[in-house]
Amino acid sequence: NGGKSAKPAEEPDTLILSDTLNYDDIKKESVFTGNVILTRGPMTLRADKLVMSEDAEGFQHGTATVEPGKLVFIRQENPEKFEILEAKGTRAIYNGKTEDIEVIGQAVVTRFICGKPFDNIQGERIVYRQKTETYQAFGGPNSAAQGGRVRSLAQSRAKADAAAAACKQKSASGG
Amino acid sequence: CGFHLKGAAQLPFTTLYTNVPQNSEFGSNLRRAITASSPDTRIVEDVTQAQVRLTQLSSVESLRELSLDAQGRVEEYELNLEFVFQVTDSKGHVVLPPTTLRSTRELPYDDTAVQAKQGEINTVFKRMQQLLIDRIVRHLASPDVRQAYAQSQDLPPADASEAADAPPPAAIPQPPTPWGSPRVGPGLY
Amino acid sequence: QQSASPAAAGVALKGLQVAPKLQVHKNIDENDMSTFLVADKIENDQDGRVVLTGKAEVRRIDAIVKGDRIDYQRSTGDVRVRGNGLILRDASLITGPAFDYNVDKETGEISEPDFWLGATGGAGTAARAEMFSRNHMRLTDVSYSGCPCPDPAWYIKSPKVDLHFDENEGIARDGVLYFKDFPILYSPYLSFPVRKERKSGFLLPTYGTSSSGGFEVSVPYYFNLAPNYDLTLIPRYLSKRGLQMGAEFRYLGQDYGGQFYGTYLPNDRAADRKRWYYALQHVHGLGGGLSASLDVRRVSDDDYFRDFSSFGLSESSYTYLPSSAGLSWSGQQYFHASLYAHTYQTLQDKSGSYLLPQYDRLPELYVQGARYNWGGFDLRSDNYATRFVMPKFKYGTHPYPAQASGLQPYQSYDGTRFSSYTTVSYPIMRAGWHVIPKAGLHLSQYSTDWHGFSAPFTPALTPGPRTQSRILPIVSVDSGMTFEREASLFGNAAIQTLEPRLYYLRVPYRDQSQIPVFDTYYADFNFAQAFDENIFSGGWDRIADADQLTIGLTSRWLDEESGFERLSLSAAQRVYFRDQLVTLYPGDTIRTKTKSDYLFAASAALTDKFFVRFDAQYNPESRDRNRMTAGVRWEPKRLASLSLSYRYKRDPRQVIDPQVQTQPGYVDATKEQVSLAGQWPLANKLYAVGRFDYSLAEKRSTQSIFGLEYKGDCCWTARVVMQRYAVSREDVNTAMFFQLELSGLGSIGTDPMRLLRERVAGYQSVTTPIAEKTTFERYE
Repeated sequence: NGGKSAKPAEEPDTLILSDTLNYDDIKKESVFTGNVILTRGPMTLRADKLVMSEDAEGFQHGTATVEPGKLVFIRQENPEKFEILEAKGTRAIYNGKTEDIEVIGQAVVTRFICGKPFDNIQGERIVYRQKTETYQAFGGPNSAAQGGRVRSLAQSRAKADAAAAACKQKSASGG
Repeated sequence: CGFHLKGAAQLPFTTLYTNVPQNSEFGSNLRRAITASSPDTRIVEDVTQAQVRLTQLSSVESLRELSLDAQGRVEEYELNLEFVFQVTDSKGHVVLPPTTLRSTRELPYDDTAVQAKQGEINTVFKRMQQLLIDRIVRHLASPDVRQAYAQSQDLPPADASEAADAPPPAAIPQPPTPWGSPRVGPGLY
Repeated sequence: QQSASPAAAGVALKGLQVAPKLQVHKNIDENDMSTFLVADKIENDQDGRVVLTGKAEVRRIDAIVKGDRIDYQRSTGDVRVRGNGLILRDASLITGPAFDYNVDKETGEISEPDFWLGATGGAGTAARAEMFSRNHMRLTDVSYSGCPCPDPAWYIKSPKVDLHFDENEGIARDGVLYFKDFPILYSPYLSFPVRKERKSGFLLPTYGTSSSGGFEVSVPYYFNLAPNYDLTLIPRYLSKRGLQMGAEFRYLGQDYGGQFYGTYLPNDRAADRKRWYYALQHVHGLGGGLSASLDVRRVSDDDYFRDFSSFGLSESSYTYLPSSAGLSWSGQQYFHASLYAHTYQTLQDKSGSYLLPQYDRLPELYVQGARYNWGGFDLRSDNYATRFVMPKFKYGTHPYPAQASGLQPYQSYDGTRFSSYTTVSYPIMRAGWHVIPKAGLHLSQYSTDWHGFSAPFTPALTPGPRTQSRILPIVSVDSGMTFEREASLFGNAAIQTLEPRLYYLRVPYRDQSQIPVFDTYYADFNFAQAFDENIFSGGWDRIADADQLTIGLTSRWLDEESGFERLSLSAAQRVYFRDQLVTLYPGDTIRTKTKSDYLFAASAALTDKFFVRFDAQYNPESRDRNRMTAGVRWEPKRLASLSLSYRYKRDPRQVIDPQVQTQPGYVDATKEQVSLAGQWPLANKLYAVGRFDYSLAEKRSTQSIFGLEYKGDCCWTARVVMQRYAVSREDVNTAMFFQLELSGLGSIGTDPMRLLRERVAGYQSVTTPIAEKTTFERYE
């Protein structure tokens, strides 16, 4: 998308830990394998293998995969709203340019408020756009939800607000 | 010609409870008939101690105009008694499923003596009820019940133990129309 | 201490209940409910709108919304559904191509909706549906039917219908009722039930004609006032008489209950006077074993039942209308007491002979003490104190009775009677035999105001003594034995019994010719009476002297396995050791025969479906039958039964004195009648119900009723009933009634077929009621 309307907070730096790292100069890809942990500001990612590459404009794109039977795990915190977003799937794609996170295969995204799970959405492919805080979920044969469909649970607004208020009050008094 | 005096027919259980009221002609004669037919069977008035329960489910006396004379006046009534009872064991198994005993009598009617005839209807119903006793005891002592009781002994207690026993409806005693039998007269319509 | 629940007190009030209804998920607060979304693709946009595409569903515990594409704005609760839209709430289902609905405010609009209301309510289609609230929905250009079948037999077309779910009422404006696509009723205002519950509204109309009332139509209206009381108004127009208003009010409380039925016709054109009838029944539990009850019936004139007969058969046959009111107490196990007043309204038949009214009992005190199996003894004591009052003669009710006119306005003597009959018996019962000795003492005291009448109507006209008393011991011994043997009946194993029975009765003679007769009459000689203590029945103003032995023999064939009684034959005869001196009226003939008639009876259940019954009273000397009845009943399958019966009763005067036939002017009152009754399915949807009594003695039918019932494909039944019965000595009433029952349009009210069931043996209702479905049964 064009120029950024508001100047973003300074660019958070990305830290990636893994057992091994190979750099492929031709494809300009660095491949991290074994207990890969990526942290980038409020977001952390865990997987067995992460392939990071840089596009022409210098944006970084990553594709994380796991051994069969395991799931890529992504966690996104939003301290002001006391919310934590967790996404799981057999494969995850991070697009540095649009800052979209895409989880594919048995995809589940769960929203926690004050540590308690509130809403969740299950499907085969879920795209989460951090910029607009919107998401798109698609069904398919490998969907986490039954029948290849997309299923979403939305707790009542009253409960969500109540939990957030309780958390705020606790953290305020907790100091 | 092969006839012999009817001997005692021992019932397979030793204690029996029945919800037919004890202090009534029908109730006391029923109890006497059961102990006469099976001397080792004791009638207990506390349902929890009874191995078997003889439950009267309903006893309905009804009256039907059978024929009219030429002037349109009732000439004959048909008296119907329908008595439904069942036998269950203490664990709630059905030993004898709800059985209906029917008996019918015809009684000529003369409406110039409506009150006297009302008394007569009541006497006939009482006689019909007495005759039920022998048929009830026959059912109780029949091989079917004996077999069903034997089988029920090794079954686990029935889960849906329905009401311990359906006591006859504790009705407000009927206002004693002349001798309290079903009303001879028009319905409400 | 007995609980006084009125419902079981014989006041059978169908449909009324005191307990509240089952509630569904009522305790979850609306904004506490979580929402489940299911679709092929779900996405949201910045302002929180969620878009579901591909077989989308929004599910909440109280409602489900489905569609091809759903936009759901959580903040406002707006739901826009496009493509195969569906909404399901409280088991009411609405589908339409597109609709907008607000889940929180529960308002919305649906285009071209198809709807199904309630689990068993009606269904239909409309051009548009607007939901104003959870309780109120308006439909425009509607075609609605309460018939839960794919192709409903009837439906209502109306430009505007308002459905109020809580009041369970649908109101159609300018509605036209179509039956088989044929308009049969237009009404600017039509109300119908939304769910199958008790609801105010019109009940089943009945059309008909009768010779006594002419053409008639009655359209009852039912007011569902409360779960435990309701009112039905029955306006009924009779062409020959005018508009009669009927009403039935039923009520049920925690410890009382009752019903009132009444009719009022201000001006009967045929009889040009007011005609009314009312009947009030009330039972009240006062606690402590005490209860009060009232059962009053009154009618405006003697011919009321002859002129106004609804579906009932032979209602005109009531000559005495009984009423009673009083208290009864049974708080203690061995004692029961009651204080009651009984009166009778005598309905004279102007074309027949004058009927002497019944004695009113104002009041009657009754105390009973009974202790059974008290150390083997049975003790019982019945004590009555009764004041008998004969109603005074009222002019104009009937041409003056034949009695002497000088004794006006009295029609008979009055008096009070104290009677006490205490018995003790010691039943000895063994498996094969039983002996029941019984002794009783009957005390009675009469104090009579003769008003110039003599002891029961002897011509001598000398009134008896004012007070009289009578003390009589009554002794009896009932004994019987039971013999058995193996036998076989119709091929299967059976036990045959042989049961001889001897009943000896001894009652000394007391001269009772001066004692007044209030409520006593000859009992009919049958198997019950043959083993009874008195040949008179009723209040025992007469106790027959007796030194007699009744011999009975019964043989039964019982099914070996179940003890079911297949066949029973019995015979009895009474042997008299002395002449009988006590008679009801001094003029009656005294029995001098030493042996009574024989009594025979047989009843057989040849198969589970075929029953035979026969009994007779046979005079050995005249070698002729005095009474005989025979009956056959066959019930091959449900909704099919046929019974044929024959009855013969010789004229009682011939029984006593066979030569009476030779006397001049003798009219033979022997009765002989054949009766055919039954219900038979003529075709798979057509049922015939009928009963036909033919008097062989008078060569004419005394009563006949014939009904045809056509059960429509799914929710309509047409009935026509024709009946013809004697209403008085001279005239006969022929009547025909027609009914079209559209189940679902209105509840049925009093089921006219119930009356058929009472008159025709083995009748079962044809229309299988629409199964009672609950909200849980329609779910997606």
